[in-house]
Amino acid sequence: MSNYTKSTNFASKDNLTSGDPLKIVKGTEINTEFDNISTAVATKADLASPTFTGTVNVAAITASSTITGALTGNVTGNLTGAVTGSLAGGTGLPLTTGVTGTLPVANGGTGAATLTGYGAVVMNSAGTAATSVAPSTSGNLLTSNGTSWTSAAPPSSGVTSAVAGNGITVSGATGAVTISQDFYTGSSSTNTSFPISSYLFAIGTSTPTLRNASSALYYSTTSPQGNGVYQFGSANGVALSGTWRTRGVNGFLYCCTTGIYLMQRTA
Amino acid sequence: MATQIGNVTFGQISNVRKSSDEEGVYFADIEISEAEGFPMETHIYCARDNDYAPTGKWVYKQIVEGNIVGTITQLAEGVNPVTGQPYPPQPQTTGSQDL
Repeated sequence: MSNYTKSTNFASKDNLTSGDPLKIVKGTEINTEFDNISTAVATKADLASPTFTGTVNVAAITASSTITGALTGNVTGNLTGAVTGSLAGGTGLPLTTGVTGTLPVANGGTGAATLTGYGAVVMNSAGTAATSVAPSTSGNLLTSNGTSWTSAAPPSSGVTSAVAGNGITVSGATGAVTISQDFYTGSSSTNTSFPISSYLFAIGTSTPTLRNASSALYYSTTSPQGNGVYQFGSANGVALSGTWRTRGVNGFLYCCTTGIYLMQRTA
Repeated sequence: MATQIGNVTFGQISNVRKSSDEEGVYFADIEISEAEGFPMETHIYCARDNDYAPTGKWVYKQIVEGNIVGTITQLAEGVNPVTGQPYPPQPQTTGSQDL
Protein backbone atom coordinates (compact mmCIF):
# COMPACT_ATOMS: atom_id res chain seq x y z
CA MET A 1 0.00 0.00 0.00
CA SER A 2 1.38 3.34 -0.97
CA ASN A 3 0.33 6.92 -1.24
CA TYR A 4 0.61 9.08 -4.34
CA THR A 5 3.79 11.17 -4.34
CA LYS A 6 4.37 13.76 -7.04
CA SER A 7 7.66 13.19 -8.98
CA THR A 8 7.82 16.41 -11.06
CA ASN A 9 7.12 19.94 -9.82
CA PHE A 10 5.33 21.35 -12.83
CA ALA A 11 4.62 24.71 -11.14
CA SER A 12 8.33 25.53 -10.82
CA LYS A 13 8.64 25.37 -14.63
CA ASP A 14 6.57 28.59 -14.91
CA ASN A 15 9.35 30.63 -13.33
CA LEU A 16 12.01 29.39 -15.72
CA THR A 17 13.12 31.57 -18.64
CA SER A 18 12.29 30.74 -22.19
CA GLY A 19 14.85 28.49 -23.74
CA ASP A 20 15.57 26.73 -20.50
CA PRO A 21 15.36 23.02 -21.34
CA LEU A 22 13.69 22.25 -17.97
CA LYS A 23 10.84 24.55 -18.82
CA ILE A 24 9.61 21.93 -21.27
CA VAL A 25 6.88 19.53 -19.98
CA LYS A 26 7.97 16.15 -21.19
CA GLY A 27 5.68 13.28 -21.93
CA THR A 28 7.83 10.98 -19.78
CA GLU A 29 7.26 13.21 -16.76
CA ILE A 30 3.50 13.09 -17.26
CA ASN A 31 3.68 9.32 -17.74
CA THR A 32 5.62 8.93 -14.48
CA GLU A 33 2.97 10.91 -12.63
CA PHE A 34 0.16 8.77 -14.00
CA ASP A 35 2.12 5.65 -13.09
CA ASN A 36 2.48 6.94 -9.53
CA ILE A 37 -1.25 7.70 -9.36
CA SER A 38 -2.12 4.26 -10.72
CA THR A 39 0.06 2.49 -8.15
CA ALA A 40 -1.37 4.48 -5.23
CA VAL A 41 -4.99 4.03 -6.27
CA ALA A 42 -4.54 0.29 -6.75
CA THR A 43 -3.44 -0.16 -3.12
CA LYS A 44 -6.32 1.85 -1.54
CA ALA A 45 -9.71 0.46 -0.35
CA ASP A 46 -12.82 1.14 -2.36
CA LEU A 47 -15.75 2.90 -0.75
CA ALA A 48 -18.05 0.10 -1.83
CA SER A 49 -17.41 -3.30 -0.29
CA PRO A 50 -13.72 -2.85 0.46
CA THR A 51 -11.56 -5.81 1.48
CA PHE A 52 -8.97 -5.03 4.13
CA THR A 53 -5.80 -6.94 4.91
CA GLY A 54 -3.63 -6.45 7.95
CA THR A 55 -4.67 -4.39 10.94
CA VAL A 56 -7.53 -1.95 10.56
CA ASN A 57 -7.62 0.93 13.00
CA VAL A 58 -10.93 2.68 13.21
CA ALA A 59 -11.64 5.75 15.31
CA ALA A 60 -15.39 5.35 15.03
CA ILE A 61 -17.72 3.01 13.20
CA THR A 62 -21.20 3.78 12.08
CA ALA A 63 -22.79 0.92 10.24
CA SER A 64 -25.73 2.05 8.19
CA SER A 65 -26.71 -1.50 7.30
CA THR A 66 -26.17 -5.16 8.29
CA ILE A 67 -22.70 -6.38 9.18
CA THR A 68 -22.54 -9.87 7.73
CA GLY A 69 -20.06 -12.71 7.87
CA ALA A 70 -18.19 -14.35 10.75
CA LEU A 71 -15.70 -12.61 12.97
CA THR A 72 -13.35 -15.56 13.13
CA GLY A 73 -10.38 -13.94 14.79
CA ASN A 74 -9.96 -13.21 18.50
CA VAL A 75 -10.89 -9.92 20.05
CA THR A 76 -8.21 -9.23 22.59
CA GLY A 77 -9.21 -5.76 23.61
CA ASN A 78 -12.04 -4.68 25.92
CA LEU A 79 -15.47 -3.46 24.98
CA THR A 80 -15.50 -0.63 27.44
CA GLY A 81 -18.24 1.47 26.01
CA ALA A 82 -21.94 1.00 26.73
CA VAL A 83 -23.94 -1.24 24.45
CA THR A 84 -27.27 0.45 24.16
CA GLY A 85 -28.57 -1.86 21.52
CA SER A 86 -29.52 -5.53 21.98
CA LEU A 87 -27.59 -8.68 21.19
CA ALA A 88 -30.79 -10.39 20.21
CA GLY A 89 -29.32 -12.90 17.84
CA GLY A 90 -26.13 -13.63 19.73
CA THR A 91 -25.45 -17.29 20.58
CA GLY A 92 -22.63 -19.38 21.95
CA LEU A 93 -21.68 -17.09 24.82
CA PRO A 94 -19.67 -19.33 27.24
CA LEU A 95 -21.27 -19.05 30.72
CA THR A 96 -18.20 -20.21 32.60
CA THR A 97 -15.76 -17.72 31.07
CA GLY A 98 -17.91 -15.34 29.14
CA VAL A 99 -19.86 -13.68 31.90
CA THR A 100 -19.13 -11.99 35.20
CA GLY A 101 -21.36 -10.78 38.00
CA THR A 102 -24.43 -12.52 39.51
CA LEU A 103 -27.55 -13.38 37.55
CA PRO A 104 -30.50 -11.93 39.49
CA VAL A 105 -33.64 -13.86 40.43
CA ALA A 106 -35.66 -11.71 38.08
CA ASN A 107 -33.52 -12.96 35.22
CA GLY A 108 -33.78 -16.61 36.14
CA GLY A 109 -30.73 -16.75 38.40
CA THR A 110 -30.39 -17.21 42.13
CA GLY A 111 -29.12 -13.73 42.86
CA ALA A 112 -26.52 -15.34 45.11
CA ALA A 113 -22.81 -15.03 44.45
CA THR A 114 -22.05 -18.16 46.49
CA LEU A 115 -24.09 -21.04 47.95
CA THR A 116 -23.08 -23.55 50.63
CA GLY A 117 -21.92 -26.92 49.36
CA TYR A 118 -24.42 -29.76 49.87
CA GLY A 119 -26.95 -27.18 50.97
CA ALA A 120 -30.57 -27.03 49.89
CA VAL A 121 -31.24 -23.93 47.82
CA VAL A 122 -34.27 -22.06 49.10
CA MET A 123 -35.85 -18.85 47.94
CA ASN A 124 -36.50 -15.89 50.16
CA SER A 125 -38.81 -12.93 49.81
CA ALA A 126 -39.70 -12.08 46.25
CA GLY A 127 -36.86 -10.63 44.27
CA THR A 128 -34.17 -11.28 46.86
CA ALA A 129 -31.33 -13.68 46.43
CA ALA A 130 -31.68 -17.39 47.18
CA THR A 131 -29.78 -18.87 50.11
CA SER A 132 -28.74 -22.40 50.99
CA VAL A 133 -29.59 -24.41 54.09
CA ALA A 134 -26.75 -26.61 55.30
CA PRO A 135 -27.69 -30.29 55.90
CA SER A 136 -26.59 -30.18 59.57
CA THR A 137 -27.33 -33.35 61.58
CA SER A 138 -27.90 -36.65 59.83
CA GLY A 139 -31.60 -37.43 59.54
CA ASN A 140 -32.67 -33.81 59.58
CA LEU A 141 -35.46 -32.61 57.33
CA LEU A 142 -35.99 -29.34 55.50
CA THR A 143 -38.55 -27.77 57.77
CA SER A 144 -40.69 -24.68 57.33
CA ASN A 145 -41.37 -22.32 60.21
CA GLY A 146 -44.03 -20.58 58.21
CA THR A 147 -41.78 -18.02 56.57
CA SER A 148 -38.43 -19.66 55.94
CA TRP A 149 -36.67 -23.02 55.89
CA THR A 150 -34.27 -24.66 58.30
CA SER A 151 -32.60 -28.03 58.76
CA ALA A 152 -34.34 -29.55 61.76
CA ALA A 153 -34.77 -32.93 63.42
CA PRO A 154 -37.93 -34.73 62.35
CA PRO A 155 -40.86 -34.36 64.71
CA SER A 156 -41.24 -36.94 67.41
CA SER A 157 -44.90 -37.48 66.68
CA GLY A 158 -45.99 -40.63 64.95
CA VAL A 159 -44.29 -44.00 65.21
CA THR A 160 -40.66 -43.50 66.10
CA SER A 161 -40.01 -46.79 67.82
CA ALA A 162 -41.70 -50.09 68.51
CA VAL A 163 -41.40 -51.92 71.82
CA ALA A 164 -42.68 -55.27 72.93
CA GLY A 165 -45.78 -55.43 75.08
CA ASN A 166 -47.71 -58.12 76.89
CA GLY A 167 -47.72 -61.11 74.61
CA ILE A 168 -46.35 -59.05 71.74
CA THR A 169 -42.92 -59.46 70.19
CA VAL A 170 -41.30 -56.91 67.88
CA SER A 171 -38.37 -57.64 65.63
CA GLY A 172 -36.75 -54.23 66.10
CA ALA A 173 -37.32 -50.69 67.28
CA THR A 174 -37.34 -48.76 64.01
CA GLY A 175 -37.44 -49.32 60.30
CA ALA A 176 -39.14 -52.43 59.02
CA VAL A 177 -40.59 -53.90 62.20
CA THR A 178 -42.45 -57.17 62.45
CA ILE A 179 -45.01 -57.31 65.24
CA SER A 180 -46.16 -60.76 66.22
CA GLN A 181 -48.29 -62.19 68.97
CA ASP A 182 -46.60 -64.62 71.31
CA PHE A 183 -48.13 -68.04 71.76
CA TYR A 184 -46.79 -71.40 72.76
CA THR A 185 -46.18 -73.58 69.71
CA GLY A 186 -44.56 -76.53 71.45
CA SER A 187 -45.93 -79.93 72.34
CA SER A 188 -44.13 -80.66 75.59
CA SER A 189 -46.43 -81.91 78.34
CA THR A 190 -43.90 -80.70 80.92
CA ASN A 191 -43.45 -77.18 79.60
CA THR A 192 -43.27 -74.62 82.40
CA SER A 193 -42.69 -71.42 80.44
CA PHE A 194 -45.57 -69.91 78.51
CA PRO A 195 -45.71 -66.47 76.88
CA ILE A 196 -47.59 -63.73 78.64
CA SER A 197 -51.29 -63.72 77.67
CA SER A 198 -51.33 -67.53 77.33
CA TYR A 199 -54.52 -69.27 78.50
CA LEU A 200 -54.70 -72.64 80.23
CA PHE A 201 -57.44 -74.61 81.91
CA ALA A 202 -56.56 -75.61 85.47
CA ILE A 203 -58.09 -77.27 88.46
CA GLY A 204 -58.39 -75.04 91.46
CA THR A 205 -58.93 -76.46 94.88
CA SER A 206 -59.79 -73.22 96.62
CA THR A 207 -63.51 -72.66 96.78
CA PRO A 208 -64.40 -70.34 95.33
CA THR A 209 -61.39 -68.58 93.77
CA LEU A 210 -62.12 -64.97 93.02
CA ARG A 211 -62.26 -64.06 89.36
CA ASN A 212 -59.03 -62.34 88.26
CA ALA A 213 -57.27 -63.31 91.45
CA SER A 214 -53.65 -64.34 90.97
CA SER A 215 -52.15 -67.62 91.97
CA ALA A 216 -49.11 -69.78 91.40
CA LEU A 217 -49.94 -72.40 88.78
CA TYR A 218 -48.59 -75.93 88.54
CA TYR A 219 -48.89 -78.94 86.42
CA SER A 220 -49.54 -82.08 88.42
CA THR A 221 -47.06 -84.92 88.46
CA THR A 222 -48.84 -87.09 90.98
CA SER A 223 -52.26 -88.28 91.94
CA PRO A 224 -54.98 -87.43 92.37
CA GLN A 225 -55.05 -85.03 89.39
CA GLY A 226 -52.64 -87.01 87.28
CA ASN A 227 -49.64 -86.09 85.18
CA GLY A 228 -50.06 -82.99 83.07
CA VAL A 229 -53.15 -81.51 84.70
CA TYR A 230 -52.69 -77.83 85.43
CA GLN A 231 -53.70 -76.87 88.92
CA PHE A 232 -53.38 -74.20 91.55
CA GLY A 233 -54.12 -73.91 95.22
CA SER A 234 -53.11 -76.68 97.52
CA ALA A 235 -52.14 -79.28 94.94
CA ASN A 236 -48.52 -80.18 94.50
CA GLY A 237 -46.60 -80.22 91.20
CA VAL A 238 -44.18 -78.23 89.09
CA ALA A 239 -44.73 -74.48 89.08
CA LEU A 240 -45.21 -72.53 85.85
CA SER A 241 -43.32 -69.30 85.31
CA GLY A 242 -44.85 -65.94 86.01
CA THR A 243 -48.09 -64.81 87.52
CA TRP A 244 -51.38 -66.36 86.53
CA ARG A 245 -54.88 -65.03 87.06
CA THR A 246 -58.20 -66.79 87.03
CA ARG A 247 -60.43 -65.57 84.21
CA GLY A 248 -63.48 -67.64 84.96
CA VAL A 249 -64.70 -70.98 86.21
CA ASN A 250 -66.38 -73.67 84.17
CA GLY A 251 -67.71 -75.93 86.89
CA PHE A 252 -66.98 -77.53 90.25
CA LEU A 253 -65.80 -80.99 91.13
CA TYR A 254 -65.72 -82.93 94.36
CA CYS A 255 -68.91 -81.47 95.62
CA CYS A 256 -68.05 -77.81 95.17
CA THR A 257 -64.52 -77.94 96.55
CA THR A 258 -62.68 -77.91 93.22
CA GLY A 259 -63.32 -75.93 90.06
CA ILE A 260 -62.16 -75.98 86.44
CA TYR A 261 -60.71 -72.50 85.94
CA LEU A 262 -59.52 -70.60 82.91
CA MET A 263 -56.11 -69.20 83.78
CA GLN A 264 -54.14 -66.48 81.99
CA ARG A 265 -50.52 -65.51 82.41
CA THR A 266 -50.41 -61.78 82.99
CA ALA A 267 -46.84 -61.05 84.06
CA MET B 1 -38.01 -48.05 92.22
CA ALA B 2 -40.43 -49.39 89.63
CA THR B 3 -39.16 -51.03 86.46
CA GLN B 4 -41.24 -51.52 83.34
CA ILE B 5 -40.77 -54.61 81.18
CA GLY B 6 -43.10 -54.43 78.22
CA ASN B 7 -46.46 -53.41 79.63
CA VAL B 8 -45.72 -54.80 83.07
CA THR B 9 -44.40 -52.56 85.82
CA PHE B 10 -42.56 -54.26 88.65
CA GLY B 11 -42.07 -52.88 92.14
CA GLN B 12 -40.46 -54.56 95.10
CA ILE B 13 -39.56 -58.24 95.09
CA SER B 14 -39.85 -59.74 98.55
CA ASN B 15 -40.36 -62.99 100.45
CA VAL B 16 -38.30 -64.97 97.94
CA ARG B 17 -38.53 -68.73 98.49
CA LYS B 18 -36.33 -71.22 96.74
CA SER B 19 -38.09 -74.29 95.43
CA SER B 20 -37.45 -77.44 97.38
CA ASP B 21 -37.61 -79.82 94.45
CA GLU B 22 -36.45 -77.83 91.39
CA GLU B 23 -33.23 -76.00 90.65
CA GLY B 24 -33.47 -72.53 89.16
CA VAL B 25 -36.98 -71.93 90.47
CA TYR B 26 -37.99 -69.24 92.96
CA PHE B 27 -41.30 -68.08 94.33
CA ALA B 28 -41.64 -64.46 95.36
CA ASP B 29 -44.14 -61.81 96.31
CA ILE B 30 -43.87 -59.10 93.69
CA GLU B 31 -45.58 -55.76 93.29
CA ILE B 32 -46.98 -55.76 89.78
CA SER B 33 -48.98 -53.45 87.58
CA GLU B 34 -49.83 -55.52 84.53
CA ALA B 35 -50.76 -52.66 82.24
CA GLU B 36 -50.54 -48.91 82.12
CA GLY B 37 -53.02 -47.45 84.56
CA PHE B 38 -53.55 -50.68 86.48
CA PRO B 39 -53.00 -50.42 90.23
CA MET B 40 -49.88 -51.92 91.73
CA GLU B 41 -50.73 -55.14 93.56
CA THR B 42 -48.67 -57.86 95.18
CA HIS B 43 -48.85 -61.29 93.54
CA ILE B 44 -47.19 -64.65 93.81
CA TYR B 45 -44.61 -64.98 91.06
CA CYS B 46 -42.78 -68.08 89.94
CA ALA B 47 -39.39 -67.17 88.45
CA ARG B 48 -37.54 -69.69 86.34
CA ASP B 49 -34.15 -69.47 84.73
CA ASN B 50 -35.58 -70.77 81.45
CA ASP B 51 -38.63 -68.51 81.31
CA TYR B 52 -39.83 -67.66 77.83
CA ALA B 53 -41.15 -64.21 78.70
CA PRO B 54 -38.88 -61.14 79.07
CA THR B 55 -40.67 -60.35 82.33
CA GLY B 56 -39.75 -63.73 83.79
CA LYS B 57 -36.15 -63.39 82.64
CA TRP B 58 -35.95 -60.00 84.33
CA VAL B 59 -37.46 -61.20 87.62
CA TYR B 60 -35.16 -64.20 87.77
CA LYS B 61 -32.16 -61.95 87.13
CA GLN B 62 -33.18 -59.61 89.95
CA ILE B 63 -33.46 -62.52 92.35
CA VAL B 64 -30.11 -64.11 91.56
CA GLU B 65 -28.42 -60.68 91.67
CA GLY B 66 -29.96 -59.96 95.08
CA ASN B 67 -32.10 -57.00 94.10
CA ILE B 68 -34.79 -58.07 96.55
CA VAL B 69 -36.19 -57.12 99.93
CA GLY B 70 -34.97 -59.49 102.63
CA THR B 71 -33.23 -62.77 102.00
CA ILE B 72 -33.98 -65.92 100.11
CA THR B 73 -35.45 -68.70 102.19
CA GLN B 74 -35.48 -72.39 101.38
CA LEU B 75 -38.87 -74.05 101.10
CA ALA B 76 -39.19 -77.31 102.96
CA GLU B 77 -40.47 -80.32 101.08
CA GLY B 78 -44.20 -80.68 101.15
CA VAL B 79 -44.79 -77.00 101.87
CA ASN B 80 -47.07 -75.02 99.66
CA PRO B 81 -45.00 -72.07 98.33
CA VAL B 82 -48.17 -70.03 98.13
CA THR B 83 -49.45 -70.52 101.64
CA GLY B 84 -46.27 -71.59 103.39
CA GLN B 85 -48.28 -74.40 104.94
CA PRO B 86 -48.00 -78.17 104.42
CA TYR B 87 -50.22 -79.47 101.66
CA PRO B 88 -53.51 -80.81 102.99
CA PRO B 89 -54.66 -84.30 102.09
CA GLN B 90 -55.95 -84.50 98.52
CA PRO B 91 -59.49 -85.65 97.77
CA GLN B 92 -59.65 -89.05 96.20
CA THR B 93 -60.69 -89.49 92.60
CA THR B 94 -61.65 -92.50 90.63
CA GLY B 95 -58.63 -92.46 88.31
CA SER B 96 -55.99 -90.40 86.58
CA GLN B 97 -55.18 -89.55 82.99
CA ASP B 98 -52.15 -88.11 81.23
CA LEU B 99 -53.34 -85.07 79.21
